[in-house]
Amino acid sequence: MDCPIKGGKDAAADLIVGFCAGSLDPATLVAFERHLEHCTECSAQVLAQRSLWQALDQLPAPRINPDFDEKVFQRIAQEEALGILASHRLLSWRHALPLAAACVALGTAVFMKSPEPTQAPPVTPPQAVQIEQVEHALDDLDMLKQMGFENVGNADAVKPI
Amino acid sequence: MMLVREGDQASFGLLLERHRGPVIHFLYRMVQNPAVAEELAQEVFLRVYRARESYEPSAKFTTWLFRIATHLGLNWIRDGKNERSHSSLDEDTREGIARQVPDRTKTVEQRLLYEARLGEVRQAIESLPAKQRAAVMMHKYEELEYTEIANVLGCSESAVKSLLFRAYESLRARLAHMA
Repeated sequence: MDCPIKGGKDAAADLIVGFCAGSLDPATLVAFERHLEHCTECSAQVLAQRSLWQALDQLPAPRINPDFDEKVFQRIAQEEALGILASHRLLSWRHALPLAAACVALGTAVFMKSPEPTQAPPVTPPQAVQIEQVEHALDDLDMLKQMGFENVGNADAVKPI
Repeated sequence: MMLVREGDQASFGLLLERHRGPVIHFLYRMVQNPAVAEELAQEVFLRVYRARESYEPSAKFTTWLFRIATHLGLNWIRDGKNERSHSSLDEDTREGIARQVPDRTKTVEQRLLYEARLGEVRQAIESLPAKQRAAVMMHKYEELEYTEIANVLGCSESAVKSLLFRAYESLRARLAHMA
């Protein structure tokens, strides 16, 4: 195997990182191990990468909160509840808008088609006076009969005295 | 995931059980804050649940999962929310970090040395550009392949190799004295 460092940085990095990560395929691994036996430069790189690997291994992993799943499910439930509310709100708006439009249209149509307002005849109060006048007229007739006007009430027959 | 897509809650529970560890660990190493990592991980699974109906198995599920996690982690870092980037020993204990203190028989000096080395590793990781950091976390700790990392980060495989090479080179330089 040619020295990967002489072949370029990318090739070297690929091999050295892969070697330390244990991700080289068997054939490449064997070839690189043979190369390392006599290449001090690559061996130094591998050593540096290995010690970095060990240093990175010290980084701790957090303990997972035992109620993590529960919290996720709670958040899902909250979102779904909010989603349902939102959809109800949307539904109400979806229904309210056409309903309001229909009301306005109906109101306008009723207003346009209704007959023009006419002036109602003035309501005359019942005339109590008329009864009195009739009574007076009847009294006058009686009086006239008594005075000698026999045919009172018959206009043709009335003859002046 | 296909069962989850059909509304099977139990399958979502199984999915959580299988993937919460890698997602939380990945996010913790990205943001270096256990509380934030847990919150972001919850958001990851919430997004998975939200998108279940539109999920198409065009790529590996883990690739999709880590794409969401990386997106959230990178956004969090970008938005400068990482002012309190790494916590002290006391805070870590309180917030549930499983510290890798091997045994209690270590002397105080050894424990202090361990803490100092841990602090240096954290600072070295934190000093990496966010995308390099994400690539290292996926490669080193989650053992994702180059193609998967490339899919997660939305770049080519050679770009991932280049990212990793530069990241490891920086880390080696910063942590050389620990060798």
